[in-house]
Amino acid sequence: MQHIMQQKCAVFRTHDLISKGIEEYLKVESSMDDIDIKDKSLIFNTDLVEALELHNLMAQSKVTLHSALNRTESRGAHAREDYKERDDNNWLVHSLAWLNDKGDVSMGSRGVHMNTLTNHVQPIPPKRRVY
Amino acid sequence: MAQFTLPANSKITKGKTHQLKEPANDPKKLAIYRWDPEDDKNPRIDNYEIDQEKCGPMVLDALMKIKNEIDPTLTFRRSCREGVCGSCAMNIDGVNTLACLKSMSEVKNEIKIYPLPHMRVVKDLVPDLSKAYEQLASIKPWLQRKTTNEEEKNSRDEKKQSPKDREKLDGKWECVLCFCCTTSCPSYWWNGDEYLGPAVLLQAARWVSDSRDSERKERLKAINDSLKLYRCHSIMNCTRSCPKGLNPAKEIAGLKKAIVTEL
Repeated sequence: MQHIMQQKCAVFRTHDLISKGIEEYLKVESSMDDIDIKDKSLIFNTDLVEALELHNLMAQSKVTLHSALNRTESRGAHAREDYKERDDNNWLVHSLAWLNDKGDVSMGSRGVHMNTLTNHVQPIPPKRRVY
Repeated sequence: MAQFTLPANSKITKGKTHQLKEPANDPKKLAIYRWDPEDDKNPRIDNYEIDQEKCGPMVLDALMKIKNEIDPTLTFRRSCREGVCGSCAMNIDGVNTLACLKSMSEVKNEIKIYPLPHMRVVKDLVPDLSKAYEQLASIKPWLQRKTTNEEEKNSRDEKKQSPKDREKLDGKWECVLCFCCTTSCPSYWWNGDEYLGPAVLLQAARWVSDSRDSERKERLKAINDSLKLYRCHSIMNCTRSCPKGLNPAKEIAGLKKAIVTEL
């Protein structure tokens, strides 16, 4: 999982690369059923903790892969080599992802709050990063 | 004649040996202290063998390799793997240090690894540090600034510090609280319940020396105690063991000097 995320879902990514990452991810996901914890202790069981961490990271990786594939623009640390420009018209939104019990991911989005909570400070409109 | 019995679990027995399955160009042996609180057996020393060509250079890399590939029940604390978190403090080759900063090549022959000495062991290489943390809390390791100046009270500006005043914290702020020094101190071994130990006293010195802190005198008064501070007899084990190259003994001497000259 670590290798897939570092190689197929790093900062610079493309549709093909992420798709390949998802393909490989599914293989790893199916092997999760065979997980075995050798340390049966109830005190400071780092083996168990690491297994729980892996379980969590598996879900995080899956939604990360799908969100990266879904967002067809480049923004910050999401640099799509096949969509090099930032696209504020379509993608000035938060990506939302749902992972259900069967392991299916569905994508959605939510608008970005463009205003400050008080009138104390005026909001700064988004603009291109040119540095 | 008086007869003494050793405390429970102080006798260490021989444990399992895990040998390399394939011949290796650069093998390394590790002898690691193991103790499981859930069985009533004595601690044991397990022997492991790894191939250094297929492993990172540090002792922590070897421990992780063992945990990942040979024996997942091996228990130790680790986090940052680069000497900034202070989690992987243990006794390696007879010296307390951070496993992530200790290179395997520094140790000739077999690498012997034990938990930090004279602490209650939770399991394997994990010591119970709760007393040390309690002692750290007792010196109030946070900025205290009492002021009668109304302007400053109402102001939300940052409290500035000159580069020269900031320099006074050098050699103190770098401490990562791994307690390698505290657990290497014979004085702490004897009086650990009262004596604060070098790590905590170094933190005390760090706050005493902070130009933004207003409670310098109070802090000095609080540690001016024959047990809390003066159990330091300049043994210097702390300075010798510090994996970050700090000098707690010197900072403790600074505290003693400040007490003499300022209180």
